[in-house]
Amino acid sequence: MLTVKENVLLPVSLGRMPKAEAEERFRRIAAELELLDLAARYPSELSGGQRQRTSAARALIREPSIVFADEPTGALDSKSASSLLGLMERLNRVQGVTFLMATHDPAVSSYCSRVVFLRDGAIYSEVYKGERSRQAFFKEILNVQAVLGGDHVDTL
Amino acid sequence: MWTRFDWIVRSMRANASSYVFYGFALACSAALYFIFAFLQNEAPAESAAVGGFRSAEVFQAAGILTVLIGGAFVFRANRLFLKRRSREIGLYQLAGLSRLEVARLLLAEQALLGAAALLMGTCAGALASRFFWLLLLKLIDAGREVPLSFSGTAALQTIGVFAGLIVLALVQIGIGILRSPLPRFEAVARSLPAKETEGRAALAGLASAALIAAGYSLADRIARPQGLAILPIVLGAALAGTYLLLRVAIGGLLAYIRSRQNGHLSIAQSLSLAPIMHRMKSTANSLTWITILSALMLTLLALASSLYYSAETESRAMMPDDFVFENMPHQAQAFEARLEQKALVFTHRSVPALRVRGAGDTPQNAGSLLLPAESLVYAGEEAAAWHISGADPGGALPDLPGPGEAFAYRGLERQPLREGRDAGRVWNPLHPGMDTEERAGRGETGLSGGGLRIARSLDRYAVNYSVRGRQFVVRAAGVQELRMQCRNSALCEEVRLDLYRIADPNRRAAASEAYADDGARPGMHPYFVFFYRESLHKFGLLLFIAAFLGFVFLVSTGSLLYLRQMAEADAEKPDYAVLRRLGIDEREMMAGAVRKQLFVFAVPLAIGLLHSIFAVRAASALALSNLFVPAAAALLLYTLTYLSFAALSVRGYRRMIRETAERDMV
Repeated sequence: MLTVKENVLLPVSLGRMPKAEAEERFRRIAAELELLDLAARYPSELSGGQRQRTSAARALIREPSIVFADEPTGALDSKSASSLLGLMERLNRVQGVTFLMATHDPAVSSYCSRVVFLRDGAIYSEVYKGERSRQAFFKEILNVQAVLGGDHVDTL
Repeated sequence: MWTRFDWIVRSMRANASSYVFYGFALACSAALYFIFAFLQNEAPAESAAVGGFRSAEVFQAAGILTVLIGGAFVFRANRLFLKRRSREIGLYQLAGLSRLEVARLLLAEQALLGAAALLMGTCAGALASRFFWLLLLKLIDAGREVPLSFSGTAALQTIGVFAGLIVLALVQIGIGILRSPLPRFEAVARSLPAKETEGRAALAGLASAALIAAGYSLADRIARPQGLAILPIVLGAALAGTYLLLRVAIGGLLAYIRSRQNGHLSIAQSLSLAPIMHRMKSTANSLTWITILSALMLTLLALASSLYYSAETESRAMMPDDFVFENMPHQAQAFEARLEQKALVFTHRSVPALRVRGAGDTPQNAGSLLLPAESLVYAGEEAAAWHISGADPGGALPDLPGPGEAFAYRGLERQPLREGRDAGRVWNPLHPGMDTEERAGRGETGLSGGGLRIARSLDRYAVNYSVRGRQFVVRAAGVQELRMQCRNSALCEEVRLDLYRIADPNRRAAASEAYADDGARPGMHPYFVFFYRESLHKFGLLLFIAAFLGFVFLVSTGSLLYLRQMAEADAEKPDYAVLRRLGIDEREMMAGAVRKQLFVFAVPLAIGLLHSIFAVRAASALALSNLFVPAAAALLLYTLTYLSFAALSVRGYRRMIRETAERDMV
């Protein structure tokens, strides 16, 4: 029942953030997630991906020190997914925000600095990105997953 | 293999709770209607006249009101019903049933339910009407035996009217199903808040103010003769004005407030403003009806309680004297002797009055009754009894009319708005049809001059209403002059009145025994105690009906609002869960929920109160006494009832919010 902008700004109203700063943050995040044109829309006017981007923006607007994300790119197309992941990576690098996410997608997990593989509820293995490139890290994740046997693997 | 009937029964069982509620309400209104229809058909003719209307008409009006309330309820409940079951309707279609088959299934369900409710309602009404019938008889005329039979007319009327209502409901549901879109499985409501531009909202605000003001000013005319004809116009104006106000003007105002926030809504705003705007259309619909109907109910209640509590004052206005003998000096003497025997203190006035049939008088009316003022005046302690009624609330003695003047006592003909117009007119009892202002212009007053100047027009009686003739109080010399003028003609008739008043109000009943001792004879006038008791009973019954109806209505609208709020709370649950995850605590969420309840209950309350104040003002023209106290009491009751329902729904919201917290912890 709230517009995209109202939704994103909802957590802000809790604190005592000045309106101008809140507005500024909204512009930045909304531009990043391509939500600016949708600011006045209601949830029923949004696609699944647009809704997910809205909730991501809502989670990020207060610049928390840690974010828990469950399949954050689940409903997103590859372009929106990479822009969301890019934003998360930047926030992590520049502002030191920690992201902890669960995903089935090796490409998504390649954005992380540490990946923990789960199998049937137990930790199976883990890999660190270190100084490698994302492509190299992605390959290693795929390798581990191949050994794991595919289906029932969660990476963390 | 399931038969269709199995399906119907199964589905009814699944929806039992809402069906029970719906069926019960339908049965209740059918029962209520039956009672009113029964009383309307069977009410003895003598129980007539409640504030100028016959009792049958009063009961008929109450019956119509019941059907209106019942109809509005059925209509609203069906809308809710269709919305709630749209998913189920979709599922049936997915399972391969055609829309027509689905419609047939649900219509059969509804028809079954309606028939059962109607049957139950009629039976309950038949039983309850027995009770009401006995009550009515007891109150109106205890002594008379009237056989009670099951009223076939009332039953047929009830079944006919409510069957019509049910058929309309079936048509509504049928159309709803055939038009329903394919199944929607998203929890999110598809509707969007209405987008009102500020200009449109301002325009609508003005239009609604104009409509409501027009309704208010027209309402004053309802109390005038033939005024009932404009009742639909007044109701229509009030309805349209209220709807515009709620739907467009308030909607526009909310939209303006929201757009000013530019996205920066507080938690409380996002939990009150946003959902209210989201449902403005349906909210406005139901609030409009609730507002208008509660204003009507309140007015009825205020009027009934005023009539009841002013029964003594009104009776006094009708019957200033406890006992009247007309041309029965011997009976009067005998009565006086009996009073003395019982050691009752009383005053006696012997009034030589004159009844005049003027040239313009028709055989139907009794002509004019001219009463010599001097013999009606009470002095000293006796004076206290004189002006009890509303005409001179200060209790001041009426001064005598001057020579050539008359005081017109219009009594039941009371037309408060005409009081000013009558005063100053010139009137000749011999030519009552020719009272022309021209004569007054020429300054010809006094009977020899052409007529008496009406110095005052009072909405009460000078002597008991049962004495025939329009009552005028004139100086004794004036009466004498007229007596001379029409001597030996058939136009005038001497009327000797013996008027008695009992000093101690508590001993009036004892005096009445002395009056009735003589047995009933033709020409005997009714006496005050009898009349007062009768009207007390009559208005007591009316008050009972109004209070009963009003209470049922208040509780049903209050609970309708409450049920609506609970349904909305259910729909908003996911939103609250999201807020909970964002770290918003219960206190902050409750602030929003409370604001929303305040809006939903306070807006109809405020507008309803405003409507009622004007409606009561218009209705007070029908009653002699002041409506302020009963109206204030009724309004207070209304406010308290709504506030308690608001408190209930706030409690419901709190429970829902706590539930979301518990669910999250699991």
